[in-house]
Amino acid sequence: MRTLAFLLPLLVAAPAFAQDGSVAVRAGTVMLPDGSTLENGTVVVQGGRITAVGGADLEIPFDVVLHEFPEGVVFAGFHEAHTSDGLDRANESVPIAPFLHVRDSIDPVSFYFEDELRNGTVAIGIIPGNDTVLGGSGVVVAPYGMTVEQMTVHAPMGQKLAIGPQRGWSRASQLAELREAVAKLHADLRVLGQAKLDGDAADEDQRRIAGEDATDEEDHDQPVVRFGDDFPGKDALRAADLDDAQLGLVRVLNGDERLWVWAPTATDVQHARLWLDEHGLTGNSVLVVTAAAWKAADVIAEMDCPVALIGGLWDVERDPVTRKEERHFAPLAFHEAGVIFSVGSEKGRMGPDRLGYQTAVMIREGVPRAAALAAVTAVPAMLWGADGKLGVLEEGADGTFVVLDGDPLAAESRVLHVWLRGEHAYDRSQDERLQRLLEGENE
Amino acid sequence: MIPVLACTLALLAPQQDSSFSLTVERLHVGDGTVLENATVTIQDGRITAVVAGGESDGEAAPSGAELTPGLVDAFSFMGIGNATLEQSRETTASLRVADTADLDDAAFRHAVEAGVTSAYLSPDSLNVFGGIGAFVKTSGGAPADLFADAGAAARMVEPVASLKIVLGSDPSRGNFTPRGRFTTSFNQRRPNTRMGTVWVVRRDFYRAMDYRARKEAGEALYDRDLEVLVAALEGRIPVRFQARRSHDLQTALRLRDEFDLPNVLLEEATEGHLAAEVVAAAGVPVVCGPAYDAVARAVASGPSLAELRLLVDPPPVCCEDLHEEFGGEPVGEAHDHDGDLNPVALDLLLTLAPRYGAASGVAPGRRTEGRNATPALAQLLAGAGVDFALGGAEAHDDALSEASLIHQARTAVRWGLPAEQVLPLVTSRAAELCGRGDSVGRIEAGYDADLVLWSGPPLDSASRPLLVIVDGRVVLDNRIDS
Repeated sequence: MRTLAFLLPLLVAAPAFAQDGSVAVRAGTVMLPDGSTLENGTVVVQGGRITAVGGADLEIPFDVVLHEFPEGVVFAGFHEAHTSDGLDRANESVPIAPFLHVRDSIDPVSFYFEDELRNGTVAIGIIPGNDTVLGGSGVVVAPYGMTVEQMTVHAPMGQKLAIGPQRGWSRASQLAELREAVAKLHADLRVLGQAKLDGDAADEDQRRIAGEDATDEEDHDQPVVRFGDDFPGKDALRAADLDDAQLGLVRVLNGDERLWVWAPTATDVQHARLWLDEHGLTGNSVLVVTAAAWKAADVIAEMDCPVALIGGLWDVERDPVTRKEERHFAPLAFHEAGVIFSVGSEKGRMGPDRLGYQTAVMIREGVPRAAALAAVTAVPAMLWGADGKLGVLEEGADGTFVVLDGDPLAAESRVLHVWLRGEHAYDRSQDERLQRLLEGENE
Repeated sequence: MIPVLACTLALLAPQQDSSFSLTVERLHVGDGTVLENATVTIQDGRITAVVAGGESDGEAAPSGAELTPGLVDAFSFMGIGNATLEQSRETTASLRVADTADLDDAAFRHAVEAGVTSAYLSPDSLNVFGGIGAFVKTSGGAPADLFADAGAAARMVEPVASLKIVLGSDPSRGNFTPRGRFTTSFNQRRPNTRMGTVWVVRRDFYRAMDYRARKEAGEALYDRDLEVLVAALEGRIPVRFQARRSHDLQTALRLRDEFDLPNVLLEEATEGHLAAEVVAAAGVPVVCGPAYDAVARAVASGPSLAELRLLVDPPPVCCEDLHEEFGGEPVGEAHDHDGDLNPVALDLLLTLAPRYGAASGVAPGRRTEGRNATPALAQLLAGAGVDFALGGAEAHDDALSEASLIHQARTAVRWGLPAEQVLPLVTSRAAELCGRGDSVGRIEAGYDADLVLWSGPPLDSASRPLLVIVDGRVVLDNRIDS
């Protein structure tokens, strides 16, 4: 086993880790956003943000404590673009539920977050599951903190829309439900708009009868409906005039929320394309796909829509006559088609349940190292709308990074420390549960 | 995009000759030693010479590639289909896996793709005396499948490899007294308990001893099961005790001493770390089962929750065959409509879903007997001085499985065992524990030419087999791809 002894003198000599969001780390290797590395690099974080990345001679501000890891590797950490882990249940049994929010379900003390931190994951996009039509809103959290507010690193993440059928539904029922929801909203808005106009006119009549002047009160709220054709009362409608379900759907159709569109197969991608084009929402959407969607890689590239690949990385088809299997590695298909994609972990399988392993497998199967690393760092950040803030070690980004004792993709590398926005969040030497596992005392 | 099996053999003429040489930068002999710039020469399916550091006259492997012996899966269920369990008796010592294994099974192809060139095939685990396991090469056999490539099937090497005895809860799983009947009713399957299982082992070994005595006196009628047990008593066939929990491991050692069994192995040893000192002191070798994850509940090779959901509530447009697997039962009813699986339905599925562990007794047993499992098992066993090898179990059954044998080895590295100690656990030591240590598991003159050329260090997750050779024949070639 690789010894950690070389680190001990440094850790003992270092003062207690300061928790004011400022820290400097100097390490044998710093992994830069473009996939290159900086030997003997230094990262300086002040007030939770990275203020400088440079070589060994980078000046450290006098009030920032420096930690040195001569044989360590500093890495931006793994980013899980899309998951429903960490929730008690992934979906409510109501198909149109845009009013739901995962922050009401996340359990901060779940072992899931502890394991993710131990494996070097620093940000997780949690969003309702795919057994829905319109599922609710997500949030990006760090696997650290006692409350959802403390954990939140980026919000809003967006809204879940499922084009692929939920369990027990046919594809036709799924799309019919979605179509009906939109058609009903259109009809209801017209009724509400007309009612609002009638109500406003009645109020004006009342004032005139009472001899009052028109009020000077300005309406500070903006009109809430900005999509679709005009109709009487459209501009008069305000958020308070709609119920939660209507408001959520209006925000989706306005394009106010990023859509995470569940389209697991190539067929679903085609349906998603039609629906998103019809409503002009393609530019603000992320396709959530399985490996089976590799056949639609060219279609996705034409859509210019980024992809969050979840589940396994291979699609396997078996010839019904010869029973021969044909495997296709979806990340490579997406890369070759020019699709921007993130890759998620696959829980329940040891190895694929870690993003480091998934990245190594992508490289093994031919995806260039820079693209494979981006799929678990910068691309998830981009999908969340947090480009430049998360997933990169560069000036201005969050002071979030992981220190390992080797290449983050190597099986034997271990996460030694994690800093989140300049705060020290994990120390392997203090990880009691890990020690128990290593010593075989698991119960 | 990814050719599953070599279809470019025409481009590889040198490798198809009866004699050829291959030169690599790093050659892992299989016993932990590494040779730099080594050339291995193969003739008529055997390794004839291995030369390190000399002048190279072989075909040069790609830069960075490393050569290992073909991996040996010392414990697997490949090719053991659905109907292999004889349920009429709890003692089926004479039944042979070799008579039932489907050598055309896709699992063997998956194994080749993962660098496994030979494997021990284990009987199922629901009978106390499970039967006789076999040893195969994963390629080189004549396929019965009309559409298979020539030589694509597994090849039987040793149909009588070892006798399986199962301790723990697997043999009594599902055996209970029907409502309204006495416990002595013949209308039930025994044993019902862990102690009943051990009683069956004792009973039959005592019968075997009695049989041997009567046979020597010329008084015994031939009994095929007792013949096997006598062979086990005399060490002519190795005995493998499947034992997961620490007290089952201790029971196995007790039985070994009680019957003076000369040739014993322990199988799976999920809680081996809790009995490591006893096992090490006894000097009994272990073939570990699949690695468990960090929360010690899921087995690496088990189905994912998504797959189980598919079983519980299949989408309407596919998977009719899954319904058929359950005898047309309305499995969809098992869903509790709350978005989660009904735990009772889940248990039922794990019991009924043989496709997820070719052996039907395995999956539920792992769940209940894996509570104290740790992914650090290999490191803990090594630290205690236990003699062991790693097995893949159901690792290669599923085309999507990421639990192949090399993955188990990588897991051992990740959880603390030094890399140089790990490779022998899936090559030379695995072969020795299967009784084939003189023919496979090493790159040495005289050994079978079973070789895997990896794109990088074999225990690096980013490495994959570029070339797999079984008995001197190229059965997988990914070099063109790379």
